[in-house]
Amino acid sequence: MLVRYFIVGFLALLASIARAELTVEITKGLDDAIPIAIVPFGWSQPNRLPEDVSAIVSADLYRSGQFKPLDRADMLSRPTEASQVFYRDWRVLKTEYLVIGKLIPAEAGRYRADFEIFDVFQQRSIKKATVASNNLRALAHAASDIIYQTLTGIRGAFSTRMLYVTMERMGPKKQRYRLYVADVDGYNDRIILESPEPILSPTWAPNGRHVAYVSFQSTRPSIYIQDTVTGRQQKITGFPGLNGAPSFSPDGKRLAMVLSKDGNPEIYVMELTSGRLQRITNHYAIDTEPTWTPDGQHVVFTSERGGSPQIYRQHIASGKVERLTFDGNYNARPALTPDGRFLAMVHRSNGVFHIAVKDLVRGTLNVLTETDLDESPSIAPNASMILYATMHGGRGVLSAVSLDGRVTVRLPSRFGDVREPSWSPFL
Amino acid sequence: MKQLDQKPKQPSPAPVPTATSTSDKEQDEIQQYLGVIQQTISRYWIRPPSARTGMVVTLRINLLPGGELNDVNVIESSGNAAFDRSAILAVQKAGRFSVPSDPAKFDRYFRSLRLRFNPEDLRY
Amino acid sequence: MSIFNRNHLIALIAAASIAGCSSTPEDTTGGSTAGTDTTSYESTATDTSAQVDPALQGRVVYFDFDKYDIRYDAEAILSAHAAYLSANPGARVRVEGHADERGTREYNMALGERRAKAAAAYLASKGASSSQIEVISYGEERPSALGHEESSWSQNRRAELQYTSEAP
Repeated sequence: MLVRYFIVGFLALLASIARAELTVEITKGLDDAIPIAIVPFGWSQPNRLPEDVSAIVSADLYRSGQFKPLDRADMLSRPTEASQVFYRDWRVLKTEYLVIGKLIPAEAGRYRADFEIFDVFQQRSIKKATVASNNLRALAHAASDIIYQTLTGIRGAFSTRMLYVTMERMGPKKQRYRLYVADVDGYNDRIILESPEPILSPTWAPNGRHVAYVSFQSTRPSIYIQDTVTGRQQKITGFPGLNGAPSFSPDGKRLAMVLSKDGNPEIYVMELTSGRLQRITNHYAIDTEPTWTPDGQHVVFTSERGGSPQIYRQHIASGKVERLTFDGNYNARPALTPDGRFLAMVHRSNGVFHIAVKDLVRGTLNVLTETDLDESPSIAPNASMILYATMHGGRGVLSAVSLDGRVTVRLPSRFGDVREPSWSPFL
Repeated sequence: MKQLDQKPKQPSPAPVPTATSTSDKEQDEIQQYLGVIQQTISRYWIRPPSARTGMVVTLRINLLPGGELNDVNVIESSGNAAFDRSAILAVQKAGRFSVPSDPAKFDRYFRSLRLRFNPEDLRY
Repeated sequence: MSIFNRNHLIALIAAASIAGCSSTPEDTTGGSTAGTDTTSYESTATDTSAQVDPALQGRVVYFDFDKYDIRYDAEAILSAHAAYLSANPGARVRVEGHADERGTREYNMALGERRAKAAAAYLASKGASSSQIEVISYGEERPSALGHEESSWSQNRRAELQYTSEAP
């Protein structure tokens, strides 16, 4: 029975006590986004601002799937300070939270935003905050981070960035690959590598500045590390055969990768300062797509050693291997949440490729997506969403799904095939 | 610019509670009112993404005759401020609850109620 | 994969790897020539001399889904090329392995390499010298057919033979 009423000592107390306090048990709720209003921030200067800060904040919160920002046209008032807030204006619209603020010019061309979050139903201010930046988009994302954390209890990840690869067909058998770095809302995109040869498997270093990827720019695959600030590219491997799937250890000092120089695709770990290689796996099956557990003690990877691609975890020091996935006959491309509890993967069911998450504590597998050819799951640093690539209208696009599968958001797409998103750490 | 596909799930209606004493008409009636209150609150309860199975917050609500919410307090916190607030908000958005019109019954059972929020429909 | 194929594969690995290594030019400009037209080879084969095995005109062999063993229908083509390589020690061939778009990119990169190595091992088993063969995988990056259904996928699960010198 889903609904239970604990009627405390009902029968016994009925006769003897006048007021037995009853308890109602609420076990179900609504899977819905939280209604919020982000009022346009005040700006008293004569010039027009180049960016609409409150619109960026609204878009951030909307994209998280956890919030439903009120349309500006529906606002009954537009307060910019606490004394102008009339809670009833927002209560009638069933808005739970209200955010108001002011933008103020600061020194050296910077901007400052003073803003305040109100709980409409409790009729009180729950947070006052200030953010400043010379970039209004960055300022807006910083405000979104504070609002998100205040209202959900989870650190916001709106000020993070992503990597992704595009492939444009220039003609028959002629392609252009581009590696981009962009804000997670798709803005401020910048090409950091361009080549007619394949680029794949981009990934961030934990410092949020360096990235690693595989490029065929020398006509054969090699692993490179690039500084996204200076653009400097460094070739890390160029072994015969496969040089693929780079993944930085949580401390950033080691790089896991797949090499087939010894015959089979095997997982190796390279110590980046010395270049010393340690072979991790030794199996005639395909071993690939390594990632790390948060403690840096294990490598989690895809292997077909059991007859079909499945995900395994190997303790680096002892070599002890444990199989992690058992549902279906295709589970690959593992990614772990920062707490190590959830394992995201590409999972095939009924011949269709979806993003799935396994709760490693409970052992349950949840398929999160409903589209096909879903791949390259990359988890937000706050574990709220999983960025992935899928097909839409016959071409590759990026989408994000919440960890609980409740919300799916398609990101704005650019021309060409977009693939292999990688979400940065907190910056 | 962005497309949002939401898959809202409505809470299923609460089953009519079964009376433990078939002879007690009053208990039946009270349980039915409680069932409606439960459903009403469920329809307003939006859990934050940090909500997890096993989190429990207990509130006390005081109602006015007629069922209007007088006040709401946390008796026992879940330890997660966002989760506690989501429960309070559900009660405040509901605002008014269905209660017996009989003043004696209202006084005895509905003037003060404990609400125990304990999600069983979350994925994690 | 059968034991038979694996033994061939292991025997070939070192040689194929060496060939791969020696042909790794550093192209600092980003390279632009590796993606030579592949399918047009079949139609532009111009050798009309009577004694040439017609199977030599085939440059592509196909594989089953998630498989890398040489299919029966690939044997005639590979045998013809093995004979050609054996008879022409100066000939060099690059075996390119490919996968369809289903599944993950790095797994498909490994699968493509398995296919290329299986084809290379077959060539070696039929008399080609390991030093004549180089293998490379493009995974799912270079589809031959662009559709998103089985008729395209079956065209993309393949190994292609690209002569880098003394093509037949």
